[in-house]
This record gives sequence, structure tokens and C-alpha cells, in this order.
Amino acid sequence: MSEIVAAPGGRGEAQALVRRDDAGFWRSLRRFVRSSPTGTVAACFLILVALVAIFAGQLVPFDPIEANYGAARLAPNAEHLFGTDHMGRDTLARVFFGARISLVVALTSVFVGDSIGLCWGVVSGYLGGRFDLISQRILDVMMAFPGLILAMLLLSGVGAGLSTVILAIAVTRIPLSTRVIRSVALSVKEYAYVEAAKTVGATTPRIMLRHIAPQCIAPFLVVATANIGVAMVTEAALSFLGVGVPPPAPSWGNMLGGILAETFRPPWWLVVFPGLALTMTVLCANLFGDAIRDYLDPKMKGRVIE
Amino acid sequence: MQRYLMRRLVLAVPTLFGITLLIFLAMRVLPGDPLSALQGEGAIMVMSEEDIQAARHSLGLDRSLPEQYLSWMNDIAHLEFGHSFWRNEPIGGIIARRGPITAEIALMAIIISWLVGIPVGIVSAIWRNKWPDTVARLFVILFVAVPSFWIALLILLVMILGFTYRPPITIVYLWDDPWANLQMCLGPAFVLGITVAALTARMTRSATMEVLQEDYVRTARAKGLTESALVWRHVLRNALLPVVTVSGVALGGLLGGSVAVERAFLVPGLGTSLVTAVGERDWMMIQNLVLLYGVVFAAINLLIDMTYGWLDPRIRFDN
Repeated sequence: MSEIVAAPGGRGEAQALVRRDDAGFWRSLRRFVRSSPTGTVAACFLILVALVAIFAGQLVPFDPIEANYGAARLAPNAEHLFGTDHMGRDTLARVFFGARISLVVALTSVFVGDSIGLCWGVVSGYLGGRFDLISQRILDVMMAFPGLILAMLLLSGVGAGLSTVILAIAVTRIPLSTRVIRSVALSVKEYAYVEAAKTVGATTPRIMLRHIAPQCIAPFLVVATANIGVAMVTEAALSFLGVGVPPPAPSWGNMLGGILAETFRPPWWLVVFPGLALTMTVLCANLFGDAIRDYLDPKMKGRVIE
Repeated sequence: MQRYLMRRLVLAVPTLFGITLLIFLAMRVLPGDPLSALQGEGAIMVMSEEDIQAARHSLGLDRSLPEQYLSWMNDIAHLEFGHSFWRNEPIGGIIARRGPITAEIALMAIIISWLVGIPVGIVSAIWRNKWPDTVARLFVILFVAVPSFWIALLILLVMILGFTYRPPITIVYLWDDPWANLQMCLGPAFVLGITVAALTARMTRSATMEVLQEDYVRTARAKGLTESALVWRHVLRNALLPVVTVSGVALGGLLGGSVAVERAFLVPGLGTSLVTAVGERDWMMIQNLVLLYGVVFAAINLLIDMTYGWLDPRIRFDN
């Protein structure tokens, strides 16, 4: 900021610069909206889910955890719009509070896992040599397990819980992001300006931080948004299997898992509503991820990130 | 080609070693010794201090970690998988009994994914941006997002409420009673197959579109070949290579997803065993079952790499 103010031409020009910056945000937002209407709708739905998650306590008058056996297994009615479960807890309240867990787990685990991937990928791609070789073998090992099974393995070591689930899912997200970032770093390090920085005498950490890493931010965002849906489904599956977020905390996955205990006459509303919430959110996360990818990297348009 | 295959096989050795090491470390070094997990909060059973020491000794848990690791490796090398902690049942027997069910489900799922995904992808590419393409892409977007175990639960719900269906209790093999076996396996295979089909369709669509741009396709058109002959004889063969890759990647997701889907359908496969084992902290079971999943997945990836050269002779493996 101070640099801009100090620039020749005085105050007026500085303000113009700042204003152009602001306009830049709105302009790129408008460009995003125009380039992908579907992605915009998806983003709006995700914001809605986030709002519901934040204000869950204000939106429904029922407690998501406390049992009320007098009202057990009620079908959807005027008071309980989504019905109640075997302990008389309101399903709507639990679906709303479940959004909290789903979003917190997905966002934190993707942030942690992909940030590790970003650092590892930059270092591995730029340094190359033996470090890169060993890194590749370690990633091979991590990719040798299907994600869900790797997470189950780690969770059976550390035990189920909110923070352990986040960590386990974060670990499963590392290999893909490291591979993607590494390939970007490999091509960026051949650019002339990196060569120039080396000639001027920049240290290796400085080159990685100031010259390689900034080029990796866009692909990082693409991978991260693509990973959010995957992380959500993994959390739900783990909780569904009883090794994820433990009850009584409401998670969309463990709400679905509870039904297996009563297969003789399963209440349909306990299957339909949490699953619908999960599917809609994952669907919108995927659509938003696709839109972000097309926006940041038009070359990749329509291509799949697996 | 030969040298490439050799290199791949040699590279698979450290990966296999890493797989065993990762499993071992996750089970032993992360906090929570297999037996101490039985004590304390949420304990499944109460044991006296001497009992615990005796149990630790008989399981070899009082030995040093490298010793434990080597003895596990030694057992694996002799195809000795130990016993389930709770049932005192040989784990090799459980794998032999339940493995075929899981393998059958996975194979049927892959076949279903081809039968559904490839035609959908081709239709989508040929009528690009017309209504069949729109419908196909909606199908893809929807089924990539829907968690497979939820579809499983929905199907189960309809079958239980609508048609007095009951989940299977015993294992029935295809060769013993095909009808009962299909009743058990078709549901999970369909659910997994349809979710993989979405990925296959997406890949087939983009690959077919790419091949349709090729010069030889234009030449074939110029020669007056009909559209259907063109697609069947010239396009399909070249478009299917990426589809094979995607099927391989999908098989990993499928192995993972099958754990949840088996559990949803209460099918007595390996996935259900793994879930039970994790719930009961039956560590020898977890260790060996996860190893099995890892090895199978690694082997599939290796096989897929090897089929490349056979499917597309243009690919060279020199570097």
C-alpha cells in the first residue's frame, strides 16, 4: 500500500489504483457468473448450506442431541417437518447441525491435506533428485490404498473422533495434490525468470517461495475445490460405517448408519433426508469445483481431475 | 517393452514393502496399542493386569517393533494370516470364504459400468450438445455426486417396504445356487457399477470427441463410410484406451466404495469383515485385510499399465 501512495503522481493516482483493484474483484466475479451460471447457482446453494450450518441453533427449536422418547419415530408432520428418529430427536435439527460437521470436516481436511500437498509438491518438483525420487515412492504407497480404506486404517490406529477423522481424510488428500503441484513446479522451474533469479543469487527457499509457489496457487485452488466433494463423501462413508464422527454428534453419515439397526421397518424419512442433504451439497461442491476449474484454467475445460 | 515391464515390476517391490510398513506403523506406532484399546474409556471387556500381560505375550506384542514386523512378514511369506482376535478363526479361511463374494461384486460392477458407461459416452459424443448429450451429462453429474451407499440404502428401503425383502444371512456362491447368489450380489454390483459408469461415460465422451477430430476419421468419412461403421470400426477402438485407465482408477474407488455398499446391503463380503474388524479393533484382521486390499489394488494398476502397450502399439516405453 505504502508503495502505491509513494508513487509519483501523488494521491489521486493512488486512489485510482486502489479503486481499480476493487473493481477488479467485482469484474472477475461478474466474469465468473457469466462464464458459468450453473457454478454460480451451486455456489449460492453452498453459501446457503454454510448459513444453515452457522445458524442451525436459531433455525430450529429442537435440540439435535437430547433424547425425547415421547416423540420417537414420528413420521414427518407439521411440528417435525422431517420426522424424528428412534430417540425422538428432530431430523430437521439433526440435518441442519449435520451440515456443520460436514462442512467443517470437508473444509479443514482439504485445507490441511492440500496445503501439505502444495508445500511437498513445490519442494519435490523444484529440488528433484533423490528427495523427489523418495517422495514419489512414498506417494506411490499412499496411493496404493483406496482413499476410504486408507482413512479406515489410520482411524483404527488413532480411534474415531472429529479431529482424527479430519486428519485421516487430510492424509488421503495429500498424494493427488502433491502430484499435481509437482508437475506444475517441474514446468515452472524451466522458465527464464527462475533462471534469472538464480543468476542474481536468490537462495533456493526464496525461489521456491517467491517464484515457484505463486504459480501453483491456481492449480492448488482447482484441486482443492475438486477435493471438497470427495472429502464430504469420505466423511459420510466413514461415519456411516461407524468409524467416523461418533454419535450422538449428528453427522449426515452416522444418521444413515443408525438405520441399519432397524432393518425390519426402517423409517424412510431417516434414509431420505440426510442422504438428500449430503447429495445436494456434494453435487453443488462438484459443480462449483468444475466452474472454478474452467474459470481459472480454460485449457482444462471439460477435462476430468481424478 | 520388455525392459519397461521389468522396470515396473522392480518398482512394485518398494511399493509393496512401503504398503506393509505403512500398515504396520499405523497399527502399532500411532497411539493406542491393540490391547490397551480394549481397556479404558468405552472398553469392550474388562481384563485383569495379569491377563493383559499374558495376552500381550501370547500375541507377541511384548517384543520389539522390528521383531514384530519381521515375524509378520515371515507369516505373510508363508501365507499364514493369523487368527481373528475375537473369533479365534483363521483369517485365511475368512478371506477364502468371503473373498469370492467381494470379487464377484467388483467384477460385475465393472462389467455393468462398461455396458452402461461406454454407450452413454458414445451417444453423448456423437450427438454433442443435442438433447441426448444433455441427458447423458445430467446422468454423469448426478451419479458422480451421489454417494453409492446412499443409493444402496434407498434401494434396500424400497425392497424392504415394498417387497418383503430381507438381507442375506449366509454366504451363497454362484456355483451353488446362482439365483440366491445373484439376489445377494446384483444389488451392490448395480449400485457400484452405475456410479463407476458415470466416470466411464465422461471419459468415453471426451475420448470419442477427441478421436472424431483425427485425420483418419475425416478420410474414412470422405471415402463414404457410414457413420455407424465409422464409430464401430475406427473410432471406438482408439477411444477406449483412456476408458481402460479410468476403469482401473475407478476400481480403487470401487474397492473402497464396496466396503460401504456391502455394509449397506449387509452382504457378507470382505468389506463387511473389515468394518466389523475396525469396530472391534481386531488388529490382526485389519492388518491383513487392508494389506489384501492394497496388494490387489497395486496389482490391478500394474496390469493396466501393462495392457497399454497391447491396446495401443504406438505407445513406446523407452524412457
